[in-house]
Amino acid sequence: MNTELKRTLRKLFKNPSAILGFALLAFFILVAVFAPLIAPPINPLFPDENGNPMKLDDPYIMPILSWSSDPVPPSKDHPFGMIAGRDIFYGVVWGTRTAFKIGLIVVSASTLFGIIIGSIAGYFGGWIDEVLMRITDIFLSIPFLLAAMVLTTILGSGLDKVMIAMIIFGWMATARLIRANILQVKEEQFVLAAKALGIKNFIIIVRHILPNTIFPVLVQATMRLGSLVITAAALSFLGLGAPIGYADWGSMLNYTRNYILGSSGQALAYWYTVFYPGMAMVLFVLAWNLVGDALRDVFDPKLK
Amino acid sequence: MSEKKVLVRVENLVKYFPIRAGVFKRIVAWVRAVDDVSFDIYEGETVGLVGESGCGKTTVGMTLLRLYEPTSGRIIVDNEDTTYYFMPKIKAKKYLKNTYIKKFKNEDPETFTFIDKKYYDLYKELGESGFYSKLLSDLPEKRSEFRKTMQIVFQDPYSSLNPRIRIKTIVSEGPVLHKVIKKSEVIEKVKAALEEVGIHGDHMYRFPHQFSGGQRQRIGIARALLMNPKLIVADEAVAALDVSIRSQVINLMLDLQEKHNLTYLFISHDLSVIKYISDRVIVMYLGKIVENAPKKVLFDDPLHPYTKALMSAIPVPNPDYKKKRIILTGDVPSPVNPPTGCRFHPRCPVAKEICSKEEPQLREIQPGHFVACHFPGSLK
Repeated sequence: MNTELKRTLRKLFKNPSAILGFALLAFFILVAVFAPLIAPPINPLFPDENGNPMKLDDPYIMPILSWSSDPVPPSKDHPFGMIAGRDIFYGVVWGTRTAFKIGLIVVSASTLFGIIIGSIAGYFGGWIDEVLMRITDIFLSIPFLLAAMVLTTILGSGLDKVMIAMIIFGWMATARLIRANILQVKEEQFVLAAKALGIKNFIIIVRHILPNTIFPVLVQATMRLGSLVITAAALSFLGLGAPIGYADWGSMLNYTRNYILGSSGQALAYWYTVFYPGMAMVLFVLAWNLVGDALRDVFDPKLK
Repeated sequence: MSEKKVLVRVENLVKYFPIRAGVFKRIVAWVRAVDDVSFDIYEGETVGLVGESGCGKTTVGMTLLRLYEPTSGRIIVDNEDTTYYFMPKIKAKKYLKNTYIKKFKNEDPETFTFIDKKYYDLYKELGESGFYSKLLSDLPEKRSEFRKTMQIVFQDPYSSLNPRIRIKTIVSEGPVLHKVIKKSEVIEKVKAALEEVGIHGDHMYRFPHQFSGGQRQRIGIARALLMNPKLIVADEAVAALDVSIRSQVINLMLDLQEKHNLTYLFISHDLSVIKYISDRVIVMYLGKIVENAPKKVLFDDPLHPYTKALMSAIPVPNPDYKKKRIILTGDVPSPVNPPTGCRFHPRCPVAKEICSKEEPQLREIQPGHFVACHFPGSLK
C-alpha cells in the first residue's frame, strides 16, 4: 500500500500540468488563509478613538474608500486599481475565500445528495430506480439559470440563497454517474458474496460498492468545484447573488458593467476593472480542472 | 444412501426472469432459466451439477442461496421450509397460506409428506393465525441461521474479493455479523482459517491484488468456511484456475469436506472435475433435470441420450484411442421459447413422435437413478 502510494505520488509529480494545477491551488489556498494579512480588513478613512484605522465589522464587505464611483487606475496604494470606491485588490483577495466557500459547500452538499440518490436508485433498481431517475430527469430539464432566478425570487437574493439554488440544481450529474457505476459493480461477485454472507444492504453499499465506484465522482466533483465559481459569478453579475459591496469576484464584475467598453476612443481604458477579478476566476477554474485531470489519471486503473 | 439424512430438498423449483420492453417496461416474455427442478442433497455428499452454459445450473445455485428469489417451488433445509425466509412479511404469509393452509383444509392428512406433516402438527396445535405468527415471528434470526447453513464459493477469483478491503475484513465480516466468532477473537480465527486453506496467517493484512488467482480462490473458500456452513455451493469454483492449481484446490476442498463434514453442490461444466469430486451427478438441459444418478452409474451407464452425448465428448488422454462420438446437431434452443414436449427432442437422435408432444417426467428407473426420457437407454 505504501509503495503504491509512493508510486502514485511520483507519477503525479512527473506530470507538469498536475504540478501547475496543484501549485495554483496551493497559491489560492495560501491567499485565502492569509487574507487578513495580505489585505487587512480596516477602513483607513475612519479612525477609531485611538487614532488607528477602524476595524471592519464584516471583512467580506469591501470598505468604501472614496466617494467617486468612477474607476481609478492602479497605483501604489491600490495595486489593482479601484472601482465604485472600493479597492479591487481587497476584493480579489477576500473573494478567494468566498470562492472556496461557495465551491466547497455547494460541491460537497450536492455530491453527497447525488451519491445518496444515485446509490439508492442503482442498488435497489426496479420502480425505486424508475421514480428517482424520472425526478432526476425533471430537474435536468429545467434550465439552471432560470431555475436559480426563480428560486432566488422565492427565497430572496443573497449568497446563501444562490448556494441553495446551486445545490438543489446541481446534484443530478453525480446521481447519474454513481448510478451507472453501481449498476456495473453490483453484479460483481464480491457483492453477491456479501449478500450470501447476509450483510445488510446499507453496509454493502457503503463498504463494498461505494469505495469501488466513488473515484469518478470525486474527479467530477473536483472539476465542478471550479466551474461552480463561474456559475455563482454569473448569478452575482446578474445581481442575484452576493449583496452590493460583497467581496466576490462575480459581484465585482457587476460594477464593471458600465466600464467594460472603456471610454470614447479608448476601449481598454478601464482594463483593470475586468482583468484582475476575471483573471482570478480563470486561474481558479484552471487550477481545479488541472487537479481533477491529475486525479483522474491517478485513479483510472486503465491508465496505470 | 437411504439411511442418510436429507440436508437440502428442492421441490419444483422455478425461476423465470422477466424480459421487459417498451416505455412502460411491460413484461413481454420470460426467460425460463430453471423450470420445475426437484432434487435432494444428502448430508456429507458431493453433488455435481453439470450442463452446458445457459442451462440454468448457476441459477439453481443462486436461487438455492436466495441470491435470486425463486419464482415458485419449495426449498427445504434441515427439515425447515426456508422458502418464505427472505420474502416481505405479507408475501410470506400469502406463501404459507397457499402452500400449507389450503392443503391442510382440503386434503387428507394421511397423504402428507414428512415436512407437510410437521407443519400440519403445528397448525393443529396453534390454529391458522397462531401458525402464521409462530412461523413469521423471528424472520431475522431465521435468515441469519440460513446464511450460516449455506455458503458459496464463486467462479472468478478476481471479482469475488472486494479489491479495496483487507483479507482480514473480507474473511471475518460475515462470521462477526452472525456472531459465529466474537470480535475479540477475529485475528486468531482468521489466521486459523487462512492457514487451513494454505495461506500464511500473517497475510491477512494484505489486499486481494497481492495474491495470485489460486490463492484468492483459497481466500474465497476461507471466507465461506469461517461461517461454519453445512453446505457450500461451489459455482464453477475451479473453472478459472489453471490445471495444476485446479487439482490443488479440488484436493483442498475434499480435505475440508472430510474435516468439517461439509456437503457440496459442485456446479461445473467440466465433466472430468465432476467425475473426480462428486458422489452423485445431476445433469441439466435447458432449465430441466434430465438425469440424476450416483456418479459411477451415470458415467458407466447413462440412460438419457443427452447425458450419453455429453459422456462421449469427454476427451481421453490417449491419441490411439478412437471413440465413437455422438455429435449433436443444432444449438441449444432459447429458454425464452423452449420446445414443446421433451426439451431435448429437436436435437435427440432417437426422438419419436411422442417426444415432441408429451413432456417426460423425472422417473426413478433404478433406486437412486432418475431419468426424464420416454425411451431411456435407447441410444446405444
